[in-house]
Amino acid sequence: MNIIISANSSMPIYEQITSQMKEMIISNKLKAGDNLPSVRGLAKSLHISIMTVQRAYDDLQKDCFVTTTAGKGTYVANINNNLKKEENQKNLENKVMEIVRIAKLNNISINELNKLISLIYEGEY
Amino acid sequence: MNNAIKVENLCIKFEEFGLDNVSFKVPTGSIVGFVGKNGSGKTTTIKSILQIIKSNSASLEIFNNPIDFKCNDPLLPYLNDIGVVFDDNHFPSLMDISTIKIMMSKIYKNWDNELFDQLLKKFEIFYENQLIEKLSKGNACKLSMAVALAHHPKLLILDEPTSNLDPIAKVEMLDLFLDFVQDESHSILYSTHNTDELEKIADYIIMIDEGRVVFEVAKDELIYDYAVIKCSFEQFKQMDKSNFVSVIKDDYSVKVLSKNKEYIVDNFSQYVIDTTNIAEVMQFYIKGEKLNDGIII
Repeated sequence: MNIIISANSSMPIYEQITSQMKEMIISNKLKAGDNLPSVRGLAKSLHISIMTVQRAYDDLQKDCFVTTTAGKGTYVANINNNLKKEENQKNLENKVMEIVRIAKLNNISINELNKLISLIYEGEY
Repeated sequence: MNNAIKVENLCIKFEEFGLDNVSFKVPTGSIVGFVGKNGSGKTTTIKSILQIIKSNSASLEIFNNPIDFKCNDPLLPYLNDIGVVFDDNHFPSLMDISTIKIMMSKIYKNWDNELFDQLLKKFEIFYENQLIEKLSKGNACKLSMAVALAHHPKLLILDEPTSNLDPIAKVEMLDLFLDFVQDESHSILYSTHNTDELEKIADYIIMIDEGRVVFEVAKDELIYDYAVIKCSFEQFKQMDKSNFVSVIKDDYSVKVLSKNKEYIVDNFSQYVIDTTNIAEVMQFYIKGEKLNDGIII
């Protein structure tokens, strides 16, 4: 398992952890039942604080990607396809929001944007 | 919640300086960074927790046990479980390391010769017969650290332990601290000026100034929920200041600290909004004009 933390990223460290772990879970690099590193162990390896890792694990649990059993640790949950779809949808929405924001900032109309997207989607760009 | 240290209303009066109702906690299992400029009262606070300085009034709990100041040596039952490192050397300068090792093995119940040797080896201090006065400042500090860890404490109290270390040794120390808290019952109170180290490993930050605690905050809150707006004087005049904490004005711009980044991003997106760090927040608390309900006080 690789986790790469950037100190200069605008993305908070706990989000860098959750997004990378989610990606590994969705792509089946981490499988249901796999044991995640302990909170303290991961904090030590990444040279970050325990509370930051704890927050990442809490978020993963809230989003149903992992389950935590007291005294046993954190395991990858049995995620169904809906959850994968939902997560992909959420990622897509976030990216689209960013695209729309940039479009608005530059006075690009929805028609122009649609045209650009269909061009790229159809592979003609 | 369990606390390794809980101090309430610690007051000390010297002629020109004192501690004024210092209260804070070190939750079990966490690393708590203790910051403040030189002479702000960090060492005095640590020394009075350790009963090296007698305080006038305070309530102190160590490992959730109330400390009775009326006792002769109230901290004695807990000293086996506390490791302390100060920034300067506290060992007799004409003693050698082997003697210190023997001495410590008689003092501490859980002294671990093997661990002590391992740590010295790790720190690359090879001369067991070397006199303390011959040690470099950095090595003296490493020796203190080895002594503190080799008696298997549950709580480390560190007063600027890394100030004499080179950058490589500093990172090694951070490793040791994180190693130490792998055990959930272990805690660290870490006084330092290296705020970038705290940004990496600390769970909570306590700042003290002129003998008073000015803030006690979860580090992630400071890093992710605090924000700084940078703008012109005219822009500042017109802003709704209800979510501002402190303002610093310089020749060309105004910097404003807020604890509510979400609100700031929603309402002031036209201005430069930066994340902040421990050193900058300290600046705001010491040099800035404080705001209360939008009014400069």
